[in-house]
Amino acid sequence: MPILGTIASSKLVAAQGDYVSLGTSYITSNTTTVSFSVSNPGDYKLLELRCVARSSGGDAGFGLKFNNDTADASYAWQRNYYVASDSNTSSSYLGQMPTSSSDADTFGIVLAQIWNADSSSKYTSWMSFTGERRSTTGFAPQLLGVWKNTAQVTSVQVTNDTQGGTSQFAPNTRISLYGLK
Amino acid sequence: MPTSTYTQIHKSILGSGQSSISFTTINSTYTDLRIIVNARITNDGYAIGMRFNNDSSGIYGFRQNSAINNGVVVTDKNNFVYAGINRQTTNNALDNLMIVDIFDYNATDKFKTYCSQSAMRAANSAADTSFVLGCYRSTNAITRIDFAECGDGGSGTFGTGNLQTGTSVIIYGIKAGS
Repeated sequence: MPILGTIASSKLVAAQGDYVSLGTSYITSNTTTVSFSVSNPGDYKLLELRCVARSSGGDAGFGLKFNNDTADASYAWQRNYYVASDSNTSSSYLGQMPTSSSDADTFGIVLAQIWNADSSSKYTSWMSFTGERRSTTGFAPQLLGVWKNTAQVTSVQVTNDTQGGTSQFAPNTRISLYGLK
Repeated sequence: MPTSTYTQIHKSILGSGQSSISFTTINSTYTDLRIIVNARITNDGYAIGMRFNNDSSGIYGFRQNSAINNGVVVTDKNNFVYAGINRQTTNNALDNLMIVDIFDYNATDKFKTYCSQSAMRAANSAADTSFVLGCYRSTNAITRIDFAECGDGGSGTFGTGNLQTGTSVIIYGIKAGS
């Protein structure tokens, strides 16, 4: 017989090993960039982004930046589609979302872990599982990105200006940042 | 001070084989769900799938990216009757491991997108790893989730054989902050 159970809710005080919310943006009107502050950055061995996103226009990619460093040359990434891959050594890329012409009510997702954000001696890297599923096709790449800077991360920007486009995050997009203590 | 939010909310471990594992009242107080599945199936060449809200209509679709035997296989499944979370596997696989994330499962303003990182560990045969991303094309909040062995021909078949003793499904809730 199965053992079924229901367990109680969140702890009120975070401790070492806990996974804590550092902020969420619920987008109600077109928005280019969502920014989060990371207080006490040395407390978090891993940051995690969870995004449910849709574009307001024709640009499907969005990027990740740190400490308001907007210089494309500070970032690089490699994307793997299993049957193909691509890369760029002077831009940032975090994930993929449906464009405004995609099926209604369809949103893309990003599940990304950010490494070395607590370090002041290593570059910050992220590993992202992302994609979108339309009625008859889809995309599901995995990618690795890097911020070529050893500074501790004190703020995180999720931005839709990554590839020079003019699209923004559309309403009902939700972007959340978490930290693993 | 930030508070912890990664909370186990449901768990089932099979003490004997049965056709499905059902969570009929999903806790609705969270934003995302993370589900840890470790399953064994009965029939060779079948997979493991989820069904939401007991909805058997063909409004599920997913892409499977799989690495197997020094090669890759990318497969799209459209208008399916279940949400696939791994590649078809073998009945002698010792473990079928899946980490499944369902995003905004309570939302009523969007279809539900999920992803699954999966791997099969076999005794004396090939193993594979996959990344699956899919969508349940409904704006209804997810209040029920069933897991079963599935066939992936045609539009799919949900519930083709028993999940074996020891199969476990553990559901965690993750709440978005303000």
